Amino acid sequence: MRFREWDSLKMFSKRELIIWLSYKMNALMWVLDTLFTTIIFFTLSLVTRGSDISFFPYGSNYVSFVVLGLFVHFISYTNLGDPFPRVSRIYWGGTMDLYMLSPLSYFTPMLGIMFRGVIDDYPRSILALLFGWLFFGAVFTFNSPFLLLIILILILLSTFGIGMISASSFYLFDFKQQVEPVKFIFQDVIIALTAGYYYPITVLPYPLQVLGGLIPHTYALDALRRLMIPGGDALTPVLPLQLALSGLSPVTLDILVLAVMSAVFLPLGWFMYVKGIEKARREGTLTRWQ
Amino acid sequence: MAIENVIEMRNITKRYKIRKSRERFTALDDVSLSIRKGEIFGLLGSNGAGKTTLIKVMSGLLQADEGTGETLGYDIYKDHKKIRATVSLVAPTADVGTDNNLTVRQNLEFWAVVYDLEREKREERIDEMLDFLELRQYENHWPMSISAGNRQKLAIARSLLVKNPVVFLDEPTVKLDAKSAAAVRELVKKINLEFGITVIMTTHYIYEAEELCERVAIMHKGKIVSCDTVANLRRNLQRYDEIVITCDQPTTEALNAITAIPVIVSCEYADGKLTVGLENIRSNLLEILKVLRGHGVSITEVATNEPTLEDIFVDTISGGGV
Repeated sequence: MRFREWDSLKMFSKRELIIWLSYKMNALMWVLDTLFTTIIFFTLSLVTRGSDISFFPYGSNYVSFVVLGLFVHFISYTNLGDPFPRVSRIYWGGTMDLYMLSPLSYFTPMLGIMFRGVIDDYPRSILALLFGWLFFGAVFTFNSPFLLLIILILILLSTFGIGMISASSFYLFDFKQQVEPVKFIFQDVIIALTAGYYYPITVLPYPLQVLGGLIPHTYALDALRRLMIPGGDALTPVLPLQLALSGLSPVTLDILVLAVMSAVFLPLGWFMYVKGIEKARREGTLTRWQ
Repeated sequence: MAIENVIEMRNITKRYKIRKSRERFTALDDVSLSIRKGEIFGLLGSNGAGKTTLIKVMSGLLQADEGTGETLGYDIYKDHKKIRATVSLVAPTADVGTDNNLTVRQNLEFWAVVYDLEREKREERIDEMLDFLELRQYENHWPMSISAGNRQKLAIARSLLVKNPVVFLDEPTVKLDAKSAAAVRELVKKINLEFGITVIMTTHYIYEAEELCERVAIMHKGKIVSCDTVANLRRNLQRYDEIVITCDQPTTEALNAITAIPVIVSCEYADGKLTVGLENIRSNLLEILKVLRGHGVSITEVATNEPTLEDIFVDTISGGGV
């Protein structure tokens, strides 16, 4: 990335941080919100205590299981859900024209403004792990830090790719005042139902398990839980794709699928976003004033 | 070789889609225009005349459907990215691009980076702009706590940070009170004079165009119906200046002497008043008064009546232009 874009991203980040900090109650509410979310799932875990409910192959600690679900939820929520509203903010605020009249790439303003979501959500994912470990008995192992890092990077990239496809629909398909369908279908339908944040997706009917196989969350959670929860089984396949390709170890397959999704969604999202901007430039709809 | 015309548009047409319709609205209809380096050029017209659309085409923000053109020597189709990186725009609402959670100075710091101003020059240029636009006392204020006029100055300061050779001002004084609007007009003159920046401004305030612009294009329904200096527009429309002199009855010789001045088109005395029609009141008033005095005519009052740009605008759009 050229220095110009990098400098601008840093400046956008600084601006978003100043704005975020200017709301005095933000930090307090932000910590409390993450704490209460973790408490809710700790309370739910009490229901399963002493029962014979199995989380195989993800160990037996529900707090660890769900806290990792929250971790992936928080980091992917920003990457997938933020690009569309940020583009919308630039459009309705009228600033897209001003950004276009600068040497910046089409993507930098959107990435820069997304930093508000990054400030808000990324640390939540760490806090969720921390609260779970400190207060509610979650236990994690970090025996494969390199694999964990790769999985983390791939879930960030693949969800951001979907986020870019979602953002591109603002200009490309003119979803300006309506529910954005890409985000709705992924985040509010498939992910909400089949991501397995709060339960193993193996408890779902088979067709829903297949549907869950279309989103990166399923593979990231599967790999993270197998690797990070004590007692997790790294070898037994449980997801439909793992069962179909049982020659590969489940974690390897998870990483491969995440890599393929990143390689497809990210360039597709960027391509569609550029096409959307070019279409808006032809039609005179870069901002709301013509 | 220096570019004499910073903007050249030839036969530009732009049509917008109409929502939920197959029809298209013609925003620009075969527009041709040249803008010279260093001038203040006015685009005058009522709402919907096509002024903003033309600005967007010239600045590379909007792709024309037909026609050809260059801005700063760059082709508007092939080199729109280069055009966009070398022109500045002040949007019609000062609040566009102004973040109310940042101070005046922080806003400028943000845009200095976005506009890729060299790191070493940023603080110096921001200081220069704060002083130049008399915003220094407000540098640590929130934009919402300063007047609308000063917020507009902030928007102009932002656009001047990189000193691009062309600045587009889209209705720079709209929503401002008279005092703030006058201050912004002074500023426009100043940036043109001191920095040699070509200013292209849209306005529907005729007096504003008259005060600021060397040349004016009058737009109506997507067409440029007239484009010239204000003086030439007057001349072309046969709207002569008029002097009404309250005086004694001039002699026939005196009347003949006035009529003999080349720019005089009419001269008539009635009811104690001599009414003289002429081409350019400012250059010829003294000569007429000298002639009258030379013939012993006692003058008690002189009134002038120049056609305003508003008269020309009304004439132009009702008569289809010149």
